[in-house]
Amino acid sequence: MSRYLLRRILLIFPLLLGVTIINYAIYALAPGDPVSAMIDPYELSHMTDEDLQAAREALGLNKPIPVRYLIWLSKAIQGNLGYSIWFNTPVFEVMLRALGNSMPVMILALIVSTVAGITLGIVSALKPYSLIDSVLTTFAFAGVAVPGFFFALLLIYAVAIRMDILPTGGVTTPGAPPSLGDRLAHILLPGLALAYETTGSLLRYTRASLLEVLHQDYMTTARAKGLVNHMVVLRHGLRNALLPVITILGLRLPSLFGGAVLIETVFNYPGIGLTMVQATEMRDYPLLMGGVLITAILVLLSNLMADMAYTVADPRIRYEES
Amino acid sequence: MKRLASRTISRRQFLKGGALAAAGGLLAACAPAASPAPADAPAAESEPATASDRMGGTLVFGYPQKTSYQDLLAVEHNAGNRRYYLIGLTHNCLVNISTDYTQWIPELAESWEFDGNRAIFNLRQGVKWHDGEPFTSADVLFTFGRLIGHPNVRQWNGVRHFKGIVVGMTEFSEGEADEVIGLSAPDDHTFVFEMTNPYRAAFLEKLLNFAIMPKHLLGQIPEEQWGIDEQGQQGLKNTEYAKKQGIGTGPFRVTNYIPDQIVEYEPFDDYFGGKPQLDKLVFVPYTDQLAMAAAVEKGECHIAIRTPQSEYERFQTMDHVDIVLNHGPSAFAWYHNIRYVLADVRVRQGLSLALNRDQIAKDFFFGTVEGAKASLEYGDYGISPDAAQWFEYNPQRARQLLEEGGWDFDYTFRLGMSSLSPTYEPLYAILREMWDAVGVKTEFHIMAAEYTNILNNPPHDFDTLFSGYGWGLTPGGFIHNFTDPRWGPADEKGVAMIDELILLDDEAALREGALGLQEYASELQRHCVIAQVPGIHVVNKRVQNGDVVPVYGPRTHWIDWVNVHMSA
Amino acid sequence: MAGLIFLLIVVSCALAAPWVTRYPPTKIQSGQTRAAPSREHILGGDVAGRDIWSRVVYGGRVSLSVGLVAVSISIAIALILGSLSGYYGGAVDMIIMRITDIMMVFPSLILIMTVVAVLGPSIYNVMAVIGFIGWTSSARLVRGQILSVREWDFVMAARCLGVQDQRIMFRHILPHVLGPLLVAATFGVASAILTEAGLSFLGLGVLPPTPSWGNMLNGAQSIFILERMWWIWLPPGLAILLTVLAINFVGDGLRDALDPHMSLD
Repeated sequence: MSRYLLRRILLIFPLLLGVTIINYAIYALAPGDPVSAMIDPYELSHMTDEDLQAAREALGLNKPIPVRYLIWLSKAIQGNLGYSIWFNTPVFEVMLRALGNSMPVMILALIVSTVAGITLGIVSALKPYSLIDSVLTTFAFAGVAVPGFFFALLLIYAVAIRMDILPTGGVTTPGAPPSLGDRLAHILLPGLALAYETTGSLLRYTRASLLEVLHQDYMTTARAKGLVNHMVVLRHGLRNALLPVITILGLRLPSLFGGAVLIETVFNYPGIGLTMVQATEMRDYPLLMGGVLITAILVLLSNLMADMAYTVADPRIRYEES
Repeated sequence: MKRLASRTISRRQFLKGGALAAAGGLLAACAPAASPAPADAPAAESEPATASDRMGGTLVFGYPQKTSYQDLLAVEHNAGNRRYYLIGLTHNCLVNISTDYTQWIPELAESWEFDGNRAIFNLRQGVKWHDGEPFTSADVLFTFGRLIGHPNVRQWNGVRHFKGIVVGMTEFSEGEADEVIGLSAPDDHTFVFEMTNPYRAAFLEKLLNFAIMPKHLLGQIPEEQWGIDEQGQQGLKNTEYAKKQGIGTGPFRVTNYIPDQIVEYEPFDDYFGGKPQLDKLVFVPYTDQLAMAAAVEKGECHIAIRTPQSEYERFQTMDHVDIVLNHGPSAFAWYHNIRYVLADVRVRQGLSLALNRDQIAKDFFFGTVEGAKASLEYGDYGISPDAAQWFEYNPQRARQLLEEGGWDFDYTFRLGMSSLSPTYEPLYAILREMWDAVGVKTEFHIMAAEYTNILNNPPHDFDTLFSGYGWGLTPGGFIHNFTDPRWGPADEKGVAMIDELILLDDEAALREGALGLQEYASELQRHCVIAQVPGIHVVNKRVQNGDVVPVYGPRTHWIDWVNVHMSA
Repeated sequence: MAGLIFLLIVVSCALAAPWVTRYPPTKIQSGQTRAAPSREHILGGDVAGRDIWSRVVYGGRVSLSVGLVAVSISIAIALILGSLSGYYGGAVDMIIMRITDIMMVFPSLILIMTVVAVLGPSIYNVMAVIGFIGWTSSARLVRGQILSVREWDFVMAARCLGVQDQRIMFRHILPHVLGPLLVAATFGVASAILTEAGLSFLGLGVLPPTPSWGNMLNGAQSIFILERMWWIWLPPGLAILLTVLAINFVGDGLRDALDPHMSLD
């Protein structure tokens, strides 16, 4: 088991390298002269060819792309992802601040969706094809089918405006003294909006996984031994059924990041999603690239953690990877 | 000054024009974002609060912005420049202008006089920077003589306001001289500009763009570090001053600044106009229009400027807010590139006459603005009928002019923009429909990442570009519409008219000149102006003594920052 | 079953768009700006005065084709890479699977958004980018299926008989892969439709005036419209919801039908 984990950890490095290559390739794909993207258009119109050449030189743009990639990579390894053109701040700093805002929302979304998804999934699986199962299944499907941003808009309208119980957006109430309660009130709606889709898919996975396990031979045996149905489910079924769910959970992070892009925009919540949207809006390529890289690294780490959790949870695992 | 009654709308149609630099406005691209400018008010003019009002409170001020102001270094502020909203709180200019553009208001200069080509400013005494240091003429000299025109500081375009206007500015900015010889500070409280011509109001107007910066702080940063470093960053912006302090002479000082999220201010005790009454002032940028509208509705945000026109009718039904309609001197326009298909003036005239601007104002802008009536609206002089005729809706004549001008009806006219904003798409759709009705086929030309390249570099391959458009506070501010190289060769006649006009002093002659310029620019149709940019500002009724007239335009004396406060 | 019927209706409406609508979807109807539903315009007019029913129907065309084209691209890539990987194994498998791993590490919406922002938004870019980024899980699926089929007796037998690789692949192995892949493709279409809607919300999707359900939903970005003009946002919103639901139901049905192991009772 530990050898398997060691291999997984070592594998991270080539993966990371691949991630940076793809990341840089997108950057290189960008049409237009990066110099003109960085300099005020008015000023640019007054610059001579020599000025432009000098600016390109200064930014290292005269070198071939692979060389530029290596330069960028060597800096990136040292944690220097360059400067955000728009924020005038190191990309890393901008991203750190944004992540600091996003994390509470994502964690809330993860907790809510895990608890709700698995619980409802179990309820659904225990009484398959009953009324409650149909209701829950519809709920789950709707979660997967409603565009997240649209759900968020409806939440703002219904909860924040009509019912007037939670703030409409932002990280804190502007001007109010900082308090934990205020922060929590602000992450609640975005967290719920973000959780909805994940809840739906987790519910379906749990249900399917549990139903499958319930029909396995050893379950039948357990039942034949005279164990009460619920006990069977809890003792034998759940543990095995939840194994694949762990993997699913570990794989949620990318879609959480994706969801955050839309949800944070709607809630005017300055997390990583909104920052990325602004970066695309302003064509702030260093920020864009830094953001993609950092989210990719986080996903990589979370996958690793899911793997570790999986091996811990299931001692049977003796992976022979391809 | 009286507060606006509830649910009534003040429609200030002064439109004296604004010195919106076309260049700045263009940066903001497709959703033409020029921006209103906060400015502080010397207390001398404001009435004290009534006794029943509770002083103090926290005022939350929201404005729409896709991205943040980048820093607190508020050297210059053009339309489209994010710092625009904030600078008047922390910094002062030498002079300011009243909201209706009729009166110059002393700020850091107590008074001024013109003597031939010389402009002499007597500076206010006893003014302090937020850190307690005294303000003197050395700060003014530093601002105009080092900062603005410094050859290392290539990213700012403010210097163009003074090139050829202040003696020696061109040479200094091009690195040919060590200092600007046309500037001098005879004593601690006097400052003199040597101008190339006897400019008057046109010169004062230029000063509106520049906040005076502290020499004792910025002067400590070596000038060779001001420019762009190897990271592509401007050295001056990469300083404690730009990122944290933002120390100025204005009524408020920065206590907390998180880019893109919030700027918090506290009142400055030693403000020369008196200590502001608010306990705290908070500026919040909203990336999403709906989020801002919702925050206003809930009272989370007390003054919101430039709210979306689509929410206008809803705000009207709310009891807790007042609406201020105030558009300022800017409009939406197509910037025609006259190098290619629009070379013939009749074609451009035809394109203009094909548009039903009143319909657009009603359908797209929810009736919150008026369709443009001239290429230049200047002062109280009104609109010349000769200018207005090019803004009438006349599809028959439009078609006729297009034919006479040799328009190729098989050509697909490319409507340029940096990206297609979903918010403005209906407006484009309406415009396209109207052009289609006279036989002009159109398509979108989304420039995306190549925007600046196409715009600035030959062959300038675009037909027309949608952007914000400045009407010009004075004819001097309008000159860019004739000279900007991006739209084709400069128009010599227009430039000559302006050159003559900006030296005029006589009211009658000025009026005649302004209307003449208006007629000329409208007939020329280098820019197809569509409608005023809506300025729909919403103010919570808890805001007291606000005298709020937010302006979508250049910096003015628009909120009485000293006396504004919140009621319980 | 209801899902299938609904889907058939949506698809036939989209196909028969010119016959089920009275007005061109991009034509502005005078006096119809934000107009409420009427007999002439059964779903009223949008913010520019275009007929909403026409736009929903034509928007369905666009949204469905974005989904179908994007998924065709990703399935094609998945099929090629997955089969190569699964059939040949070894170094080929190793390389392809590492590439897949790398692609899976990127949060897909962020990657799609970035690439679209770099390339510029257009219907073709949106289709292509969603397609070129969304192939990873299908590729793994194909590989997994092939790995299991490869060891089956009849494949072994074919090999012993000296049948060419290509033949084995196409004749014997692929048919077994297609079932699960079809299921995955079904879900892929649904998710591509949602992705397009999200991109449109950010102004990076299908460019108006071409209607897509996603960009029509942008009308909901105003409280005023959300509250008082249901006809502007509800039709595209419902269209997305119901279509994605229907596709998911059909996908579930397909899975149950193809995989007897899963169909309980």
